[in-house]
Amino acid sequence: MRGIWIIYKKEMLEFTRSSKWIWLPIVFTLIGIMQPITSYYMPQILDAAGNMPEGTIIKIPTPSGAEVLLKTLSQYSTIGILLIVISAMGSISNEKNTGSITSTMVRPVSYFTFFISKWFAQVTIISASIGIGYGLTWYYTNLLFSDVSFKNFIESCVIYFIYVLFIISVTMCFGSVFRKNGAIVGSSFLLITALAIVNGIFEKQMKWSPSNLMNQVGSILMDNKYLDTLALNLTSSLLMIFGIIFVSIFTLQKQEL
Amino acid sequence: MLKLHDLSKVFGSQTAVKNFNYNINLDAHEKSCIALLGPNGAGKTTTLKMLTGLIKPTSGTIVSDQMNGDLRNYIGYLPQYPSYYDWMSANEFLFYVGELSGLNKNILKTRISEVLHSVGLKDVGRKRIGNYSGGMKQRLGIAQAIIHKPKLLILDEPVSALDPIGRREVMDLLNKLKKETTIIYSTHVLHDAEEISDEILIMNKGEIIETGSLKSLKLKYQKPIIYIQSDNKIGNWINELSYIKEVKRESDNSVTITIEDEPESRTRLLEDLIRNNIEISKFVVGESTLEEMFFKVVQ
Repeated sequence: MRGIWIIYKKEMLEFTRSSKWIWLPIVFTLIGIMQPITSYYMPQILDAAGNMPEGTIIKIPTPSGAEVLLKTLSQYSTIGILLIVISAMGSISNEKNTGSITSTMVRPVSYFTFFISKWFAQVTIISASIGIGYGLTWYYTNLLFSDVSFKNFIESCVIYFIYVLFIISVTMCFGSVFRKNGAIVGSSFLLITALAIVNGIFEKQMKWSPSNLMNQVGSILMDNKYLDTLALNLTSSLLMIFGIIFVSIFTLQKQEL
Repeated sequence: MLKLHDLSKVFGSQTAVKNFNYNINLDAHEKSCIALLGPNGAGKTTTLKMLTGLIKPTSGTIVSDQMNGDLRNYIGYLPQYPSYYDWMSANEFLFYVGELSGLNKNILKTRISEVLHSVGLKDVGRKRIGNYSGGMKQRLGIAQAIIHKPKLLILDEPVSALDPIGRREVMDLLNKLKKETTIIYSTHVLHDAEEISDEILIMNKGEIIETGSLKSLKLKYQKPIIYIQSDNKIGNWINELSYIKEVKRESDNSVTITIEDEPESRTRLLEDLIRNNIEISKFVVGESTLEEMFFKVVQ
């Protein structure tokens, strides 16, 4: 346990030194609040952009607050995934590439400790960034559109968080397998998008899939209730996360430094 | 005592180390400095990495009666290509690795300044490691290896990448350290091995081919060598002298001869030279170097 805390502290210091604690929250905030603000000013933007014949009447139905938040989360599950993958990709592989992993592994530290502390560090910074970004988005949405209750905001946030855990774990697992960042980003992004696409096509068969969590989020925001497969969805997602972490530690152990 | 019993390591179809049997003495009063010699690819790094636990032996065991639990608690390791976190200062880095080794925070603070002092980095402890020179990084590498007062210090090519000044500094440091702890280090620079080690272990193609103290190896392999230069031609008669072991012809007028290690052979050689009317301009008596011994052993 002590080792986990020591490596975790070191990771946090690295995030601070590399300004990750600044850019990651800012990017997530920008992506987030762009949604309510552009939705709100869309008529004016179209007006100012011109190119519309004289006398055109622009009639855009004002979206509800829930719709705006949902759009933000769907941004988070496209560009957001890329950001998460980029943030987590080098966590393991960079240490392997530079060889700095040896200075940790010649100490009495297990691969479990090594991996899990880095995993917690990534989870901390990514969920904090998303929390800040999504929180500010919720604030602006309530300001500019109809209210979304705090309960719905928190619940959608928590469910999305489970999906984020899944993405971090997948990326760090590929980070344990591959050394090249390109390979890590490519395979993580491919796997996650493929899962989302398959989920879209075979919705009935994919109730267990982590990408189905995004449908849960939609349901809680729009209809104020969960889909009836929530329990299955959460359990299978959490089990998959545990499994992926286990596989990562196992691969790390098999590799020779 | 750390017993390495029948260690071997196979990478795919390639055998890096095989049948490695050796005992390292860790007793307080019998500290030794062991040099692991061998050409590139002899399996030195693999052997040292198995000692540190970074790689697992394919077969064989490492056991010790003085170390319980995780062997890594008792081992300090300097890798061949050390790499640290460039964004950390030396102080922070030593604190990080010291804590991982289970040192208490307060002890660690005094220990860091102690260690930085002994490796000569006291004034730059607050500087980022990224700004360090190669020699400074190597010394920091030694600092991190000794921070937890290990029983065994494992150094992989500690001086190979350094300039003469850096090499001198590190060698002096090792000379100091070998009084406190048992050191095993690999090198392909024979001169360094000669300078600080008590025991030499020569490896080739993954196997130990010779071990012993420097003295015993010298006794075994070092032979008197005589270099002769003359103004006239030295004929082939010299090859047939009974007390001569080996003749290496440098040119028509000069030869290097290895002779039997007996006091009278030198006199007999001189007599023979005069009898054959050789006008000697140089007659140099020396001993074969460690390098020649190394070649002999490896071949």
